[in-house]
Amino acid sequence: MEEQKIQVKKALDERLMLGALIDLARKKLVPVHKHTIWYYMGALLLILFMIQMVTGPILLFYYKPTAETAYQSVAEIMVKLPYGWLIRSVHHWASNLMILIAFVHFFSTFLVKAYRRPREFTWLTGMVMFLLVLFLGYTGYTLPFDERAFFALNVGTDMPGAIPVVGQYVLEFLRGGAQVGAHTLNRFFALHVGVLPLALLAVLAIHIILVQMHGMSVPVSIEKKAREEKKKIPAKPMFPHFVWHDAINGLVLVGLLFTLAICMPSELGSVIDYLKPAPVGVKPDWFFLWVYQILKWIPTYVLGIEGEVVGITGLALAAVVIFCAPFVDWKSQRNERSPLFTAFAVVSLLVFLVCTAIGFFF
Amino acid sequence: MKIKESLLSRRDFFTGLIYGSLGSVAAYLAYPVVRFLYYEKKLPLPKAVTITLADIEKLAPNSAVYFQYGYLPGILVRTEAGEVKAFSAKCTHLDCNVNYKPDTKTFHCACHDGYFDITGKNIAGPPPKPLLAFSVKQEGDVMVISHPEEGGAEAKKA
Repeated sequence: MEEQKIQVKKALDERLMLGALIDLARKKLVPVHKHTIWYYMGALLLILFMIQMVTGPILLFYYKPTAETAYQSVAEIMVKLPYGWLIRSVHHWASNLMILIAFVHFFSTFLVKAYRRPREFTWLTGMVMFLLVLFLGYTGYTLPFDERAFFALNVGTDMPGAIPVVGQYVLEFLRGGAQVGAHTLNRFFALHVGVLPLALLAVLAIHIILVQMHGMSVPVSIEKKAREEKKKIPAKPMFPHFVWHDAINGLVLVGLLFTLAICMPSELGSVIDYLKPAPVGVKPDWFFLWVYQILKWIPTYVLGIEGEVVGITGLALAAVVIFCAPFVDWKSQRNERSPLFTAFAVVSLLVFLVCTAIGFFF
Repeated sequence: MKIKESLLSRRDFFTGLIYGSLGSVAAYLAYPVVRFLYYEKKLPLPKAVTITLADIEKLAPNSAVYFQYGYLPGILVRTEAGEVKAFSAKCTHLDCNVNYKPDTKTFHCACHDGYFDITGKNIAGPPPKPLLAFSVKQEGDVMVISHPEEGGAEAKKA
């Protein structure tokens, strides 16, 4: 028996080269310092993504993506089908945790300037994935086609309408017409289950390969300190040390995920009534609360320009600067401290936290 | 009594423990998924369906008409003698719908050339079993057609 096991292992190894993979992980060193904790976020995101790739298709076995049937089919999943509520709630909470951890991953890499040479493309692919994850969260939110979804569709597809020149085209492309209706749901369904996950998968592959090729980025301050003290930054092999850490983090994460899904199952609002006014206190999902709050604060007109246009253009500009950080943050690229970009990152983080909190509680 | 040599090394014990717990976690996760995916809607069959005698009168002798019995397709035949028979139209071979052939007085399944006689008995081709026969009973001016298992007993009581 034992001998046969070894033979099977050998045969598989010869063909799949699993040993080479483990050797690679053994050789790969992960630096250990006070910011090492931020290295764990990627694996958590990967675990959540895999959970989404399993629970999503399972839900598709019963979800009916048309305006007439979507609501009813989600209601059926929630109350009629065995464990449907659990699977939908796990999908819902995994998406929320994924967005939350994506924010943590984004802000932590931004603050430690992980985009420095040679990791520019790791940063760009990461930013693309961040947008894809947010867009996946938004499109998923609309699929039950309940009242919340209807207003989220109206507001969300109206916002790109404020972009100068191309706005109206983007709006009509997203809505499949001038108004939110049955066509909009079909488009959002196609995006949520087809276009966006495939795009995410493709970019994810590049991101992971790049991370493996370049190894983990070490913050400027730690590198500098090591240089001054003429010491090497301590490091541990990825396998087994960090794989082990990731496994434990993953277990805690899955525990949290199921606790949330069981204690707070995802909701289903009331049926869409195209003629009813928006309910009082209607708000977007938490991860867009900061945008909602900023747009609420901006006066109707700023210097003679419509407030909505100013707000959206401003946010888009900030996003472009963050996107291009590796190409405009010269100081970091020279491995020097870059107070301007540190301040920019801290302000972004504060704006996000404060606006989200205000949007949530008021 | 103290065993000098353990049957299980410490390593084997912990390996078993780890695989065992991983296995039970996997089972916990798989159970809801399997239950969700294998949910089958048990559509209740109606206790009985009725057809008015007037409608049956309209049917020429030695001809048949399809009717719906819940989710089952049914076929109702009026024999040359004027007797009314009703069967499930599903062929017992592979679930195609059978057709009534007046010239030979048989039910024919075109999918794999199966034949049933007028009593529903499988007489030629691959079908392994006779057609499911509904019980047909006259009650006033309607014919009550009921499933032998699902609604038969209740229909008789009513």
